[in-house]
Amino acid sequence: MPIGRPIYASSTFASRSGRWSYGFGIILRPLLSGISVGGTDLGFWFAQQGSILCFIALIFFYTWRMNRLDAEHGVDE
Amino acid sequence: MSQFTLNLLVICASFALYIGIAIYCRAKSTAEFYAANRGVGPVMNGMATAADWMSAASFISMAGLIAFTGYDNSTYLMGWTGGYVLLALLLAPYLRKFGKFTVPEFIGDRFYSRTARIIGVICLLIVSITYVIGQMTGVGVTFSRYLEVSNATGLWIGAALVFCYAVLGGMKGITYTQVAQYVVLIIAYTIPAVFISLQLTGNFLPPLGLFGTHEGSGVAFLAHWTVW
Repeated sequence: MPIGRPIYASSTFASRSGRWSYGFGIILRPLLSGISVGGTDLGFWFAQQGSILCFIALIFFYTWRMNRLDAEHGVDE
Repeated sequence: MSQFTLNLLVICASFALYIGIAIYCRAKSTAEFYAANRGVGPVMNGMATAADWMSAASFISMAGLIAFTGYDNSTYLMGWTGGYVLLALLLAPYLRKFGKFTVPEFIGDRFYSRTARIIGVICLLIVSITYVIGQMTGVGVTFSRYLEVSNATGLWIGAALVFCYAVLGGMKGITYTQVAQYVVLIIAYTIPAVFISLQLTGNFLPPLGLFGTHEGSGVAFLAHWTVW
């Protein structure tokens, strides 16, 4: 099956951008405790809402890029 | 009309609707039974998926877990939605173009390996069984509250109803049924959330209200929750 390049592009892309929001919510949270959003810090917001918004943006961006790639190679539907 | 009669009427009406939809759209071939003949549009599919996600597992379990355990359980939120992203980006488009029906088959063919396929089946079984256990527990709890019967009876009734419209309709029937469920669920979710947010923080939108200021005391709503 001619999948090859698009899968590699997608996995590095997804891993880079997706882990960014995990990092903000869990690992980097003590570091960012200075920035406050409403009564609490930025890490909390990222865990509850920000990461989900990131994921939605990711999905839209990814499908746009993949549709463009498909069109370039003539396999779009 | 007592509360119990009203509950019974509403539940019967909604299940009559779901079973009616399942019978109306029943599957006529294997392709239709397992994959809705690929004829369901993206918006409908999205609504069906959303109804799946807003079911007992998140409505009852997630809400309760986060309420009782606190910030640490936000990992569930991130893991869940992150997993969905992985699924939608790395698996779904290729599964669609693959042409057959099941994920383990796709994995076996993609990686030219029977072992991968077997591992896929084992993962599928483990995940499905745990998920169904959680869901059916939720079904049992809900039905036993509404119909005022015991937990086990509620579970049997719920299982029988789901069995009816799943077997009758296949994927196609289920998808359209879930679209109907989505409409009901999204209204049921949004109305209390909006009004609670309005009352507690004066903000119309619940996501903004969560980070707003509490009406009564004037301090930020989440000021107590920064302990980690």
